[in-house]
Amino acid sequence: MPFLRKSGVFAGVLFVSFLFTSKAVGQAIDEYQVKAGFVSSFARFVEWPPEAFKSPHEPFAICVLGQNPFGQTLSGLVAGKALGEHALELREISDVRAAGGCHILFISSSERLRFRSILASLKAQSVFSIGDTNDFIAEGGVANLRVENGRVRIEINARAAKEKNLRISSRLMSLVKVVK
Amino acid sequence: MKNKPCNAARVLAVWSVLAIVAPVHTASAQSAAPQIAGASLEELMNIEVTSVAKKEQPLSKTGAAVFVISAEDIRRSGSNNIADVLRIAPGVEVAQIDANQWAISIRGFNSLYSNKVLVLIDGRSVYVSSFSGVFWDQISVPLENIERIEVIRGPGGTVWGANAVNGVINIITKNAVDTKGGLLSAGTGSRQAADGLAQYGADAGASGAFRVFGRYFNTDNSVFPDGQRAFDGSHGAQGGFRGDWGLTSRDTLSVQGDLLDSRGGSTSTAVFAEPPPFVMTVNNALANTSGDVLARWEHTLANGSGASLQLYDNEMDRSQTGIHINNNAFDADFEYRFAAGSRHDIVWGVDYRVTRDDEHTDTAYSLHLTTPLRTDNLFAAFMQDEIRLGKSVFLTVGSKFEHNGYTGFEYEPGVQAVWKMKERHSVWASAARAIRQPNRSYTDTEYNLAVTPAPGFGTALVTVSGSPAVIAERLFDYETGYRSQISQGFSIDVTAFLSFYQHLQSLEPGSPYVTESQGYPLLIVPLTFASLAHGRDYGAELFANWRVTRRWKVSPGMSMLRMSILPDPSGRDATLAETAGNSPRQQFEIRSKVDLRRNLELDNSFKYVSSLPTQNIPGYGRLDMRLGWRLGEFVELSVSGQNLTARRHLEFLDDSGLFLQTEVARTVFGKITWRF
Repeated sequence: MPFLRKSGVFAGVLFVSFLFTSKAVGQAIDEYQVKAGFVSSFARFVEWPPEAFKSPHEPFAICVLGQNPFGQTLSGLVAGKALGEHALELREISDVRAAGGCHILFISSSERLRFRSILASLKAQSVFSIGDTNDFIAEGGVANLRVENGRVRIEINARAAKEKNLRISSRLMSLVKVVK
Repeated sequence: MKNKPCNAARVLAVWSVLAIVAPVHTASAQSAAPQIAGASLEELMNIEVTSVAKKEQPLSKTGAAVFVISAEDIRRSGSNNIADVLRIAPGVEVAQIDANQWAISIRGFNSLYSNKVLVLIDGRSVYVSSFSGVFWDQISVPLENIERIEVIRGPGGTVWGANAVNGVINIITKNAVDTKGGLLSAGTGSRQAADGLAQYGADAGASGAFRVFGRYFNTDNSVFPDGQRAFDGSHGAQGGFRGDWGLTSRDTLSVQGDLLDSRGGSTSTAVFAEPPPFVMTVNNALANTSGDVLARWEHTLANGSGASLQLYDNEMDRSQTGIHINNNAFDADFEYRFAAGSRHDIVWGVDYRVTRDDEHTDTAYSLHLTTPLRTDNLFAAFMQDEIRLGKSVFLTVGSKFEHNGYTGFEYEPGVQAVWKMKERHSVWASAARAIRQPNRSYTDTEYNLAVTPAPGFGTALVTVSGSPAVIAERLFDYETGYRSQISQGFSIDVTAFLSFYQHLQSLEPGSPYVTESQGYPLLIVPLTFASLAHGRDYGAELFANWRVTRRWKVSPGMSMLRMSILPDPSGRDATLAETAGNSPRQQFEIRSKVDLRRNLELDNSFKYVSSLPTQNIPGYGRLDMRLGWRLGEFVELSVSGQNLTARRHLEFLDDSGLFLQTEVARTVFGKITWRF
């Protein structure tokens, strides 16, 4: 049976593959759950200039521009939380012109054609912009979330943060890859 | 080293436990995992994540049999043409005839001129109206630019219209914003002598990007079963561009175009016009120049409503086996989707298509067309409503309505029901009516099919004539399927189908007569195309994805097909029963992708295709392997071998004899890719 012989060859190949790979699948989590964790945590490690809040009780707005890749995860993490006097609030927006009150803005990869025009229109605002595509930092975004070797890594564009008067804590800076 | 057996035991244990408890163990992707809320930055950075590839995204609302070939699958297949890439998709029949001709079909009826599968590139139909099929040697999108290929098994006529009868193959290329930078790739191998691609992409304005590319390829002659070199090599050059712009936050514009020029050959052992003994073996030149241009505008509204307008034009100038085809198709398509209340998502669209087909034949070959030039208009409209019945049940109903130049008004309704039992677990069922409209090869052609000995006359010539009486083939299709993401690392997809065909094309014998018009007596046995056949097919397709370890993925798949095609009570085509023997009853495949190290990939696939009794082709197995090595961020080297188990094998015959079959050989191919 030539078919059986070929299957045997293939089974051998599979076995060899198996010997080369060691770690069994652990409880890996969908990347967007972990990314949602980062998006909701950044508020604690960044200081916004006073003029970013019009009143002491103005909500702290985390916005998602474009298709929300987080499902219900991000809204679950934000609900009921506060940052000092500012209650955390999640807004889903479809146009950068609605990003006026946003403090953190996650720009979905669905908007990647418009990154440059979106980021240019945010230039004068103290918005901590976050993306998760290769050229987000190069286009002028502040933070980028990349998956490397099965872990989420953060890149920060220090110059962009400085231009926006965002002060990033040394603790966060010590964990990220600083670009520029 | 000593932990290996332990690992094997662990995986086996995981496997058996999964099989038993899987339906209970479903992590919901919607709510945050407990370790996320309240985690420190360091903890978040240490969590192992999975990136759900496009193909694994829940198709749980889709009531159809879909398989997605991802860009990663294509890169790791080691293939350098789209036809070979399609071998990845379970249930697709891919068989090579000679170095540049393929027979590709889904769920039976395979032939060089398969006519029941619709093929689209970015929504542009590349199906040629004159024979309702695809010239696969003209489908040459650079594989590096393909985002994914969606393969739908079963009818798609409700949305895509006539000819999406047994399946739809939708090739989707990357947005220009995802191909910024330079790309140079060069490869050479034992069959593909040279294949080179040069591409450059960059920003185009503040919210847009473009790419341009050029490619050259040169394929060697293959080998006949007797070991003789065939005359079927080819070489060609192509160029293309794509630009994408976000005009406003709600509008995108995409413009693309391609130009291909290729030269090749084939050998025919066919029945020629004259003189006796009619059958001759000749080498033919194959020349093709084709081009296309497409523009698509999409407008999105905040509530998920949106509109799209797409215009394209395909032009083709092709010479092969004594026929010269100049074909142009212009198509304008508008679609609008909106939500009506909270329960209905409605899509409707209108489409206009005009095709102009001009065909001339060389007199030595027997084929000729009764009307060389034909222009046809197609008017179509469709509407589909996805209705939410309760929380987890979705019902989709719709129909296409068309008016074509051959049979006038046609309609193709379909209904699909999906029950989303849980997140990423669903059961679906569908019923649809689809049609394949007649084409010129059944209405306007005349040719000599065969020569047989006739006592008293020496020889008899079997001739075929087209007939305007041919009507549209009809399919009534019933399917059901189950798909489930059983655990993070294991998913499964099963489909079963039952298909009834009516008015299938047949060749009806007329009364033999004697002619002396050539100066010698000849017995003519005339056959005429008619629609006097019916059929019943059933079968099943199954595939799974299993992430055995973090660096090893295994994807098994299989398909089974049972066809029965018979003449109608008034039909007399005795050869119909052989149709089933042109498609394999079983196909089985298993693919394995291993990341040996962070920059070293080992990919293997084995595919078994059962015999084709009508063609006397035995079953065969194909073993393909690829080793890919990334040097830093920008350079990738790969070596791939295909058909490693046997030196050569036959896969398919063209029953017209116009493309004489050659054997598919064991090949090795090396490639270097440089991105900058």
